[in-house]
Amino acid sequence: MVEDSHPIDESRLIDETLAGDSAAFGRLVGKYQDRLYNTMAHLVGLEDARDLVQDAFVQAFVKLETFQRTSAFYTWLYRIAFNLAMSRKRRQRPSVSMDGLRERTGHEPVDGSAAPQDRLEQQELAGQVQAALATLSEEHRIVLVLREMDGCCYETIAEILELPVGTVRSRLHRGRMQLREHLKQVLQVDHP
Amino acid sequence: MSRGQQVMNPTPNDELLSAYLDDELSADERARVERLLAEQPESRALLEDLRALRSGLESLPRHRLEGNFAERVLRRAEREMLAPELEAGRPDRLRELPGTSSASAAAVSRSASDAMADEDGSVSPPEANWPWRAGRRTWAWAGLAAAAALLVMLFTPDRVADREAEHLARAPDPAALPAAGDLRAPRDGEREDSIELRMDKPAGPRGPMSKAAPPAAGNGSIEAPFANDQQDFDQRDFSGKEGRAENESKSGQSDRPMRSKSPEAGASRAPTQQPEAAPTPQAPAAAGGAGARSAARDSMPDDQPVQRARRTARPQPSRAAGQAGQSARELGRQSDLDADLEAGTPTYRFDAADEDVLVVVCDVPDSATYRKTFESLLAGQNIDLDSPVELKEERQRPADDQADAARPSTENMATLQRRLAAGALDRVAKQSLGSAQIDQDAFAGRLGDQAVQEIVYVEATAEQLEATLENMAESETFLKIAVDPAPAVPAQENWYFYSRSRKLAELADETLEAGQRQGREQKAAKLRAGGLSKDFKKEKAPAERDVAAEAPRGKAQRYELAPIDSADEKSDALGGLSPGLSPKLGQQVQRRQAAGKDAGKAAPGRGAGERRDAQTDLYRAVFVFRALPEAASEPAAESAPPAAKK
Repeated sequence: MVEDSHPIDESRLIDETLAGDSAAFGRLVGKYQDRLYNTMAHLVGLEDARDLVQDAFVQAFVKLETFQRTSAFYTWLYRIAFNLAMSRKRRQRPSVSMDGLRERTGHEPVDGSAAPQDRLEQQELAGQVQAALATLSEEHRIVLVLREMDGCCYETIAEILELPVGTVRSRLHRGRMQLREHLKQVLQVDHP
Repeated sequence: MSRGQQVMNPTPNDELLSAYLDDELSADERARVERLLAEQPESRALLEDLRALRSGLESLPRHRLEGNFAERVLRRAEREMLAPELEAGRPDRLRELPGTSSASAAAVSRSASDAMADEDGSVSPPEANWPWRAGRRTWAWAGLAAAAALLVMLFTPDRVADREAEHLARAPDPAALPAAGDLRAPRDGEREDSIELRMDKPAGPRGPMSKAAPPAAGNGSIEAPFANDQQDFDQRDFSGKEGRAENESKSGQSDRPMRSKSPEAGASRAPTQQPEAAPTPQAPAAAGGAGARSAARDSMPDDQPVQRARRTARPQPSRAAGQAGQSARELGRQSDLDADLEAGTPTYRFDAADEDVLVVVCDVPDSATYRKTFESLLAGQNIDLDSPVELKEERQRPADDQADAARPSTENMATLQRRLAAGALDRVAKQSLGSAQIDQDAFAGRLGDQAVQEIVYVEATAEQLEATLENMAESETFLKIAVDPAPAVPAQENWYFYSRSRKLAELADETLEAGQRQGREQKAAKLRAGGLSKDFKKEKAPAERDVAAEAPRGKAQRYELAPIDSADEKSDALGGLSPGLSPKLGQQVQRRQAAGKDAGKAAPGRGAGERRDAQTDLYRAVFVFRALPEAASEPAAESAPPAAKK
């Protein structure tokens, strides 16, 4: 999704924001708010994601003059959001509580061995995937979310998380393998 | 090797396999993986699992934020930017801040007071319209206003001085300054925004949103939302806890949404009723000697949607100002209007350029198919099609003889319809499509004889409109949807996400189904650039999207376009809104027109600015349907949507 931003239009909106038209920034917010929110919800939970996204946009607005435009606005915005998330995490708790995340995302983890015999309905599958995703470590979960749900390429993920591309590739793969392990029963049902 | 063993013993090549899935390999690596896949069944199985995982992740529900989120963000951002400046006593720093407008400057004191009130930095829900549009004003005025407001706040916590300072700081034209009596503090029951609304908007850069928005039609056209903010500030800053209640009690003098239940306040606060229509005891409707013209204009009927309430919230001359309250500028505008009217320029009830009209341009396979679907969608949302919403033509007539808005002649009706269509297409092409990478040229250039089939004007609640858009996006009938939200309406800001290109969606789906991951991101990007993700398509319309029967009834009116007979007419239509139909004129004519209507007519709609009660506030939308027969779509280049497939 990061790649779908129209650079010209985005640049124009930024220019207009800097020129004093905050409505232009409002359009940028409207353009990216749900995507960022959806992504951050997987990282910090729905409730915290709202505040986090709002803080990220506010900070982007305040710091917009410092945006060098060497990357897409969305990439920059993401980086702000992730930095905020990490900063909060360091301040508030050593790690994301699994129980808390489960509660906040509304999905209970499902034991793979207890997978139903029949093919899962889409909603049930989503619940299983969500729960399995929540069991991943944060660093693995976020690359997966950025890749699979946000459609970011490796380079963009690396830019957002300020990681080498090789690390992104490695984490992505490990995350997938962990997820596959959690969902192996589901996958076997899907592909007997 | 069993599947369980695969899980437990991933090979080093698995990482390449994962990258292969993501199309992130070099040509050499890709060739290696493909050889591996050809030789090793377990690698193929793993790849299959990874794809299944991807599908599972993509099936996760998408979370969305509320429609006014951007408004809240900007409100808080501005507050955070301004508060430190105030604390440092350097309000002129405002000029350097991005996105900070003179509205921000004027809200400096409010922001500071808010900051003091909310030491924890918590964000209060927006209580008033966000004055985004005011950002077009120049920084000079922002700085002056900020300085004045700050001085007032710090040294003279007195309403009178406050008003004077702000007024002086903002009034750009000394000649236009009202009489000194106007600068007094508003009395109880008097419109508080009377002074705010007297401000002129200096010429400044106009943002992208302003293209569809009319120029300042009156002093209050832009400042009215700000006035609300200012009012909030006033109440909070000086009235303490009583402020809100007092604010409510003054509803009759505000153009804020109707909230009071008291008949008195309600009558004066009805969103569709102009503030001037309910003159306060201190500010009689006669407005001094403004004359019959002014009096007629001041008696706006209830059937005017909200943007008119906002636009026409012009200076309310106080009794002290008397006849002087009718400023020279106002009279000048009226003269312009008269000249326009004398030229016989027609107008109509709605205008695609109106700042709060939602414009939806839909490409449809043929009229027979889409009509039934669209009718069904409207009916499902409790929107009555073919309600008596008429295009009206207004020509000059004596001020005391405006009771009937004449039906336009047949030829003028056709012209009006085409102008409307042109305006809608132009607006969508320039704004939504320009940013969404859809075939902008095809959209912009395809206002032809056959292109636009009909226009449907709708007045409905935000929920009804959003549900309609969502259902349209779900429907296969509408090949392409381009939505241009009203920039002045926060609730509409996100509706452009319902824009989408069916062709791109099909391309992406085909690619996904075939398992061809190459180019996935690019296609997904294009798809999403259309505003609607494929994931959105997968989502079923939530049950709550089907507005229940108890929802307020919306109304809709369709206008079929007659063939264009003359080249001149076509040229005129293609040219978009003529100068004679400029938004400014449109507003003024609407005022004139509305003034002659029955003031007691039931209000069909309210607008976005008055969206406190989401169940009853009505929004205006224009749906433009363009049928694209195969023959017509061929010249439209490769980016044109496909012809009907069914």
